[in-house]
Amino acid sequence: MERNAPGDAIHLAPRRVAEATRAPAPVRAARHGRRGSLVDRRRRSGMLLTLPALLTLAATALYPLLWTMSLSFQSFSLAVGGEEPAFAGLANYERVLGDAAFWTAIGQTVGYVTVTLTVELLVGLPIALVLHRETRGRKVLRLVVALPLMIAPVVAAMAGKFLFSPGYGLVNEGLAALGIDGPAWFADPWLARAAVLSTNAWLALPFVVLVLLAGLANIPGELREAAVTDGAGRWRILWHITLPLLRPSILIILVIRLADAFRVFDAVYVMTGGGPGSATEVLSTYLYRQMFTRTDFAGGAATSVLFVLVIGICAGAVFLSLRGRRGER
Amino acid sequence: MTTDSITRARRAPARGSSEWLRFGPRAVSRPVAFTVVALAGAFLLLMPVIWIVSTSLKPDGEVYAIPPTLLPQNPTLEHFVSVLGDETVLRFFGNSLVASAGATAISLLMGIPAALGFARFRFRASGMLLGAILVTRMFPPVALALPFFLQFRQLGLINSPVGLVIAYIPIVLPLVIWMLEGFFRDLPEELLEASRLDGLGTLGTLLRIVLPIAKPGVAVAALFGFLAAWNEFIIALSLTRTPDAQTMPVGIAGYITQFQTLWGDMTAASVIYLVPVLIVTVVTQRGIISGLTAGATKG
Repeated sequence: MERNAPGDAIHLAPRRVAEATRAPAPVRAARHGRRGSLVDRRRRSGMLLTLPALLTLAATALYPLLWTMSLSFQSFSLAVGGEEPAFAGLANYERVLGDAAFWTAIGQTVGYVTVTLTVELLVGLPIALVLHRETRGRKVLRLVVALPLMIAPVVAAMAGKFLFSPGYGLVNEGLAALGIDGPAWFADPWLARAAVLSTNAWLALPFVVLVLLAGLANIPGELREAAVTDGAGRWRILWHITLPLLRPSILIILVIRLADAFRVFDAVYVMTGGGPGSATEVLSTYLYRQMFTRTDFAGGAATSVLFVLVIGICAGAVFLSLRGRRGER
Repeated sequence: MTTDSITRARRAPARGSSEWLRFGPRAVSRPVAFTVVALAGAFLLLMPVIWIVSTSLKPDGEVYAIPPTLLPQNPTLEHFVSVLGDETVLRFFGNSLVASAGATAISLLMGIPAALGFARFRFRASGMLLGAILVTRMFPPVALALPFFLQFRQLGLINSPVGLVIAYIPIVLPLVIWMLEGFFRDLPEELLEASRLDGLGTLGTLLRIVLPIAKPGVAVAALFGFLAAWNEFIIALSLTRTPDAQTMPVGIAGYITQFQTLWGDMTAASVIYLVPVLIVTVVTQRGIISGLTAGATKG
């Protein structure tokens, strides 16, 4: 869910503090001797406390996913009295991978994710830097930036569709004031993509800014002071001190927003329905159409498995590459 | 930032407050330039919300006015009257409330003990299990819609608020566990130690010691869990068919796919849809602030 993400920012700082203060050593030492039973009891408590949630998630998350995987290797018909489910080998995967629309959706999703993450960081970083400073009205500005947290993606998409609509939309009116003839946004592939992307970037901005602010709060002021004393200019400080120290925050943003951006659905469905043509078709809308328009559920299961694989590989690659680079420092 | 650097920045605004806003060569005084840019940015960020609220207050003729008006010239509540008098919209609203509150309540009931267990009562594989729970947040909801749809068809849970509650648990519960686990890690170890010495069992510790202290954290987790379900779209779209079970986002999206888009009613419905979120935010606000500052004050 895209909306959850901003909540994660809240615990970034506390968690780091906890990481530093937590001391697992005594627990380990207590394994021997009289207090061993205590540790056992603690473990048993832990299992009992987590068991209800684990069982619930096994039933509502793990089982559906395993079931989807098994369905992806079967033939399946929704019709009553239709053929019985039967093992179909890789037929579903072959059908999906042979579908040109699937590759269009993958290409557009990857392109969308790449551009959207870049845009969000390029817009979010300056805003976070402003809000981090001691300026008048900072509190009000923080509230303004946090506002999209509360707006449902569907509502934002609806507002976006209205704002970008030709004629009575405000975007073209603003462009007209600048002497530019506003285009028909949803008729052009690239402009439609830009409209969807900017709506989603607006929704994700609070998360990006809040995580960056938490990261900025963790940078000791003395570092900056020292750099200023050494005669470093503001751009050098930003490039050589602030940005490298923000790397953990940027990593969190990239991994979480990557997964979020990959499953973008609401804004596309409401604003363009995947069009014009299939210019804004992404994996989620492709999968939704495959299931509920073409009722190809076995194929949908195969697409789901491929979808999860693609997200996992991309998130893992981003995580490893950025963590690796941090290690080199 | 240290207090030292703060005072310095205040004393020397030319260097502090706006040093990276360098348009004109001293033509515009920097605080003024900063204010202008900040106001313009804030306006752009608020635009979609201003637009929704303003449209919901415009009479129909003005909604489609060319050129559009930013603020309603003749404000009217006719759209709110029409939406609130529409039984269908009220049903969407009720369904959203039931599904979100139900999923949040169940998730808190299971998530609070689980988060405490993961944070403070570690056992073999607990780290791995927690990691697995957090990874579920990476799954696309559309991939959950498929198995739920096919299974619910057989169980008769399609187009049922109960079905939605079940389908929202794999979304809300991992979120609640993640947020609370971070919060419980910050509880001082002495607290748990003391409660054990006082002879309180695990459950007693949870109910009498941890919960009263963790109230702000629980409030934040509840708020974000509720928001996740309240704003969810694709699963509701897949698992519901009629206004008997459809939720607000599905209903609002429905205004668009009809022949004509009824912007006035749709924006009014959106404003009403926002109200519970605002109420929950205000009610838990104190909790949010203390939740945000919990880590900062302890250290």
